[in-house]
Amino acid sequence: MSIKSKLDCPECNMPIYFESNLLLSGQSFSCSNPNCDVSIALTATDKDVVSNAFNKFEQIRNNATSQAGHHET
Amino acid sequence: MNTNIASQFSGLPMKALIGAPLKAATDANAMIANAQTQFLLTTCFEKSTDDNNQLVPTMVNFTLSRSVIDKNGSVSSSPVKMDISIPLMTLIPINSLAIERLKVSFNMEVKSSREINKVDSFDQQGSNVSKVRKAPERARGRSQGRLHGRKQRTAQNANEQLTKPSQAHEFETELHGSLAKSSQGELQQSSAAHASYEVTLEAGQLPLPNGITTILDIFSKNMMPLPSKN
Repeated sequence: MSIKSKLDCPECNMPIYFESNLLLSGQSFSCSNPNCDVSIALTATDKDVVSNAFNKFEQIRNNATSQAGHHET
Repeated sequence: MNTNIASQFSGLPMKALIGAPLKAATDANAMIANAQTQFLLTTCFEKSTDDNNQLVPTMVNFTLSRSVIDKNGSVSSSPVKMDISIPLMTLIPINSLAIERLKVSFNMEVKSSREINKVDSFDQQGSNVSKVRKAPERARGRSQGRLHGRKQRTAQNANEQLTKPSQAHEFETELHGSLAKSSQGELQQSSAAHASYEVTLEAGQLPLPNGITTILDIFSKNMMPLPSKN
């Protein structure tokens, strides 16, 4: 399951929205500021670290939703 | 039938009905917060190489591309690529790990109905036809029902009378009778009572702890891209 998140642009501090699956696949994401042409992409060397973090985060979220008796589809 | 419907709810464990889901939600939130803390400490931080008791954020490298203006004053056709190191913690949407809304809806309906349906049906019908005709040379009798025996006796008496020539004569008696009785009754009684009770509770999203917010702000404001070596 893909996780939607954002990080602040190093240039203009506007959000750069991304999805975990696309980020791990090497796709670049552009800044939401139309006047800022910054785009970022995850380096291949740190792909495993980020993937592991997203998997653990997803596991925690699934455990929480199952305990609350509600599953989001 | 109890006339006071509200008294039907007096035995309900409202405290458990309302409090149990709320407690389950808070327990879930506490469990989430605990798991979140463990996740941050074990995944997003690592032990410092200098001091084993000190945690430093786990950094991941990104490639940042941006356009630059060349010496001629025009936008360069090839964007400049730079390396930027970002804390892993800033990539995780930590604030989404909370129960946003809790709604407990309790609805109860007390319904009582009573119905008595009784049908009595009575039908009785009877008919009698009796015909006695007596001639001196012959006797004929036909009877149904109770009148049969009586008329039979009458016929016998007539036969006896035939033995007396002085009293012999012809007679015919015909008797029709019918009796019918019908009765039908129905009794129906129904009563219903309805009462509902609804409780709605909403719990909002838990705010992110100030410490985490501060750390995230510091990380975000100190992300500086560095030019790539190549």
